[in-house]
Amino acid sequence: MEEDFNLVLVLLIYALPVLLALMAFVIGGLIERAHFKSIRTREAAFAHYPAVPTCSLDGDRVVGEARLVTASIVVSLDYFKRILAAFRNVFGGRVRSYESLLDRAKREAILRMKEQYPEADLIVNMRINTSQIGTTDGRKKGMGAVEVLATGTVVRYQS
Amino acid sequence: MILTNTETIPGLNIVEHYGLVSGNTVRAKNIGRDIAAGFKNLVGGELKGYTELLEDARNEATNRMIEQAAGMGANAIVNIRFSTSAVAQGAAELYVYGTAVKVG
Amino acid sequence: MKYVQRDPGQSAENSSGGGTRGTLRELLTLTALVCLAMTVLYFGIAFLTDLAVAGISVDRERRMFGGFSPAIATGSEIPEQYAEEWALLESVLGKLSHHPGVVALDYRLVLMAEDEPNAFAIPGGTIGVTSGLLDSLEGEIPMAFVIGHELGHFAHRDHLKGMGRRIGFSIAVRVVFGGGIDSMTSKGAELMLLSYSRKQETLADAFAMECLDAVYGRHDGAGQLFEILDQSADLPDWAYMFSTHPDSQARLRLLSEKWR
Repeated sequence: MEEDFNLVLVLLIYALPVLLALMAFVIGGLIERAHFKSIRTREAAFAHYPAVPTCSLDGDRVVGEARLVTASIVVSLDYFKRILAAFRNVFGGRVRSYESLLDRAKREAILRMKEQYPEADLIVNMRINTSQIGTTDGRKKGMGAVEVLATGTVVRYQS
Repeated sequence: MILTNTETIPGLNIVEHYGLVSGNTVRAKNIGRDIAAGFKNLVGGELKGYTELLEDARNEATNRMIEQAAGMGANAIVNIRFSTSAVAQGAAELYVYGTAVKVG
Repeated sequence: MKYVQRDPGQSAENSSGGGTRGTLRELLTLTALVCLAMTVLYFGIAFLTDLAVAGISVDRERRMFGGFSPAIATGSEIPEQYAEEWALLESVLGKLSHHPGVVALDYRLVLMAEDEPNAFAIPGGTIGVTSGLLDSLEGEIPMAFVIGHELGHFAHRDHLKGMGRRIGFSIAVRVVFGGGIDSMTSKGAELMLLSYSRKQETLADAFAMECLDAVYGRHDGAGQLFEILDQSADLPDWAYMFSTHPDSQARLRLLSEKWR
């Protein structure tokens, strides 16, 4: 009886991180896939409505209204990807898990700007800022929570 | 592909624009570079290993952006902005973005 | 400057990390790299430890650890109930320590109040014996096997090698992989150390059998302790992956096959 209990305990100690990682891989993966899907449909819906870093206004049309617009998002990695990133830190190289996270965050931030003014025609002078705002688990090596801030001037032409 | 960080390309006329193009990559330093940089930190000066690492990464990000612009049929990217940010201990994101345009 | 809507196609996903396939690829590469790094680290540390242990002669070990006495020992007072067993144990140790394979340390026995039957080789030549062991063993040969086993640890310098590997490898893994989220590596390191520990135990068993044959000329009942341990533990085979000692049944089998 006691042996059985000890065995279960030992197994838990060794298997728990693996189980957690597996769970995070499945759930985190599902969430990411759903998010990307939503981003793609919304981007397609806003395809006529660009956000550009230049001041590219259509010379043939008269500007009716221009406003500052900002949107931000704070993101963090799931447990599984955090393990990958931690191992990556030893060997160096491209960190795919962060790339997908930051790509998602940026596209989401730009979409949020557009969604604030869905009737406008474009966003000019757009800037994107990424900053680490802290570590999620309080450890020095922990994955940072990252804020992506998008700013720009939203422009609506006179009809 | 003409790349500039100005609004226009001096001497050329921009006909139309195709919107935002961007590329990003996240790179981690390895433990060997870390140790070498640790020693270098004592005396200061350039951390060659890190310079190379970031240069490499920035090129990769730029290439991703150029590929996007080419896919849209653009022949120039204007107002290019680079940003480097530390996203975690030991990992940096290189992000580059600009407006894909057609010059005539 | 007019805006013309254009679709960048697949290149829009240039920076999105490659999806699930990208993640799986990264997982495979990194797992392979981590395993490789752990193996290299382990063998590097093992080599350094063996080198260092070779540098500590038996003579020096005696001087370094001679006065070393474990705090868990109940002291020199042997309870009356164990007086008989204790005297037998002392005489067994006296006989076995003249075996040429046994290294010249100042061996002494200490009693540990602990119900689990067990014995320990402690740097400097101290052999810790639990009261549970005295309760369960009967006869001279079974006791001689246990003492011979511990003498085997001393002869193989297992107590030093095991300690060195444990300390060195734990530090190396921590330095390289950090102590945070990647506690997975420290679990892996633990499994590697346990596997080494089981190998040491098997070699110490063999040493004990040679001692018995040389000193007593017989070894019937040598596996008595394993029979007792085997009755109290009923674990599946794979469970021994997490154990410092091999399966008692496997040890019994080995003894009966090699020393018929």
